[in-house]
Order: sequence, then C-alpha cells, then structure tokens
Amino acid sequence: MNLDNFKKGIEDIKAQKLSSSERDLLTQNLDKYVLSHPVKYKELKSPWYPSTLHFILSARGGLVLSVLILTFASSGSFFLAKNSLPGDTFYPLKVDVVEPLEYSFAVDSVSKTNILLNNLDTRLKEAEALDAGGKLTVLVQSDLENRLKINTEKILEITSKKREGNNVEPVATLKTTSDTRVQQGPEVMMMMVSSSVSTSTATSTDSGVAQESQRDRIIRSTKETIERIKKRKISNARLIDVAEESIRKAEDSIKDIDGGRVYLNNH
Amino acid sequence: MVESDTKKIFTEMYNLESDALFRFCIFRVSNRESALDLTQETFMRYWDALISGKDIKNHRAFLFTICRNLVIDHYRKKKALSLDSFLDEVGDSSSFIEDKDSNLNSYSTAEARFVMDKLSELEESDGHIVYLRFIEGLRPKDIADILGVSSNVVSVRITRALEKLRSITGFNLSEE
Repeated sequence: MNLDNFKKGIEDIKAQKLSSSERDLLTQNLDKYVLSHPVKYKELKSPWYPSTLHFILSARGGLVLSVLILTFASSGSFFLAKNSLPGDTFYPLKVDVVEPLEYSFAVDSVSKTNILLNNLDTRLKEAEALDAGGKLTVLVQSDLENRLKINTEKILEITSKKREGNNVEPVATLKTTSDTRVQQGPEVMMMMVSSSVSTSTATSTDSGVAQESQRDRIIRSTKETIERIKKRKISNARLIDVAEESIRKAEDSIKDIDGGRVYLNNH
Repeated sequence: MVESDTKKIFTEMYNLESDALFRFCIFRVSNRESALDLTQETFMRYWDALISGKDIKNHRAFLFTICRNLVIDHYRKKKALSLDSFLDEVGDSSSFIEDKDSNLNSYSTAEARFVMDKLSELEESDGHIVYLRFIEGLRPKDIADILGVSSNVVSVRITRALEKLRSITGFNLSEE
C-alpha cells in the first residue's frame, strides 16, 4: 500500500452509497412517515389575513379594538388636543370631541355652566396666544367669535332653565363697580367689570335650601370665571366686543337666577 | 415557514445527505441493514424537528448530530450497557468499530478496507473527526457543532489525528 492507494481507499469509501432498492425502501418509508406527520405548528399570519381580519371585525375583536382606540385617544391624542391652538392638527379634536365630551359628562347645571365658561376662557386664551404670535388671522378670529357666541347661548339656555324651575325667592346681593360699556384696548377687560358677590339666602323650605345653594354655586363659579376672563389682555377690538357681550349675558343670567334681586352699583 | 417550504427543505436535505448518513452509519455499525434503519430514523427525527418549528441553523450538522446520537443509542441497546459504560468502552480504540471484521467486509475494495482499518486504530473521537473531515468533507465548524466542542478543539484534534495516522501508515498525509 502506498499513499495513492490510501487516497483511492478514501475515494472508495466516499463512493459507498445506498443501493437503488435500499433507496426505494427508505424513500417509501419516509414518504409514509411525512404524510402521517403533517406540519403542526401555527403559521404566522398577517393582520390582513382573512381569519385575523374576521376576528378584528367580530364582536369580541371590535371590543378589543375599541378599548385600544380609547386607550390611545385618552393618553396621547387627548393630551395633545388639550394644548392645541386654532390651526393645529388636533384643534378640531379639542373643540369638537374633547370639550363636548366634558360637557356631556357634567351632571348638573353648575358643572355645565362652569365648563362652558371655562371654554369661553379657553377661546380667549387661544386668541391671546395667537395674537401674541401674530397668527390671529381674520378666519381664525371669525371662528373664535362664533364659538364664543355659541358658548354664551348655551350658558343662557342653562340659566333660563334654572330660572324656570326656580320657585323660591332668594335674597342675594351682587355688587359690581365697573362700567360695562364697551371700550377699546387691552385694559378694557381689566376695568370692565370688577365685581364681587356677596350672597345671603333665606329660604322657607328644605328644598329651597338645596336649590338656593345650587344657585349660589352657579353665581360664585360664574363670577370667578368671569373675573378670570376679564383679566385676559386681548388687543383685538372685535374679540373684546364678543367677549364682553358674553360676559354681560352671563352676568345677566346670574341676575335672572337670583330672581331680580341683584343690585348693580352703576345701574 | 409553510408546509410546502418544510417539505422542500426536507427533500433537498434527503437528496443531499442520505448517502452520507448511510455511509456514516455503515462506518459505525458495520451492517447495511442497521445502517439503513438508522438513516431512516435520522430523517424521521429531522422531519419531526422541522414540523415542530425548531430553529435549525446548520441542517447538515443537525442531521449528523441526530445520526451520531442514534448510533450511540444503537450501541447502548445492543450491548445492554449504560451510556456511561458505553462511552467508557468506546473511548478504548479497540472497540471504536463495533465489529472490525464485519466492518471491513462492508467495503468492496482492499484500499477502502485498508483506510478503515487504519482509522479504527485511532481513538474514537479522533477517528470520528478524521472521517467527517476527510471523507464527508465537513468543515471544522460543522464538526464542532456535531460533537459539541469548539472549532479550535476540532482543528487541534485533526492535526493530532493526522500525525498519528502518518505514524501508523508511514504516509506523508496532509490536510489536502
């Protein structure tokens, strides 16, 4: 034996193969085995795979989807919307979804009035921010005006309902030291109305006590918001007009709730 | 992986490696019938692994690993010994091939029988490595995967086994 023989031996070993009969038998047995043992693991499916889509559209899937959407909406989008200004992507979400939702969750007229007045304050705050940045265009201004008017109408609606349901004569004193006449300029809002409320109530029935207390809360919270609104320095004359009108109507409505027993110092 | 892909891989590996695995089994068990059974069992287990979604990185090394384990089981059953004592036994070069005469008779040429005779004189692990490296042409990395050792260990053992084979045969054997 020499090296060549050794190499030939290696080649001979490499040539060792299954005979045709052995291969046939092996192939046949393995075919049977493969057929009797099909693939059993789950295939990965795309979200758009029909059965997956069916799950999403089913009642259970719909519920899951709703929860996911609500979670997302309540966390990210609502936060972004809350701080948006007219012209921002999330601003429509803020004024057409978030604020109406807050309003619809309010249970009594006090909360509703508060929310509406807060919205009014928010519109003015937005105007103030836009004005400071020189972005208060005619279109935005018109939109804000409309929203202020709608807000005011809603406040009046609530207070008028309250007035209709009021059969108790309260004793309340509302003192204001300002001239409510409209003037132009940023200082107008400051000096327009500087009001303070002191209320004392006298009731003859137990139900009257409860109703009166609620009216007091409306008056107090409304006045507080009005005070806050007045402190905003809006330089735009038209917005000042609208805001002042809103404030005046809100104040009037409070007086109406008080059954006319409100005394304005200058009137 | 879908079913058709699994079958495609299986068929491809069967066509590529069935002869090599059968050859490896003959090298170890010296009996064509047993070698055929072990080859079949190897592919059955390979199919089971495929359909269960097992992540197989090196299919060739995986097949040889199954086959090697089955051979060990075959020895254990046949000799009715515990695995430990079997491993102790196969560590002895004299029992590296189950039945040396029978094994040599499995090869048709004198040259092949001569090579197998010399390989059987090596230690079990070295004989395995030389067989897988020079007859089946596996890379040291693949052999390392099969034996569960590092590539460096395989390279060292190849060098050591070749030196021993040179001293046994008297031939100037090299890795080429």
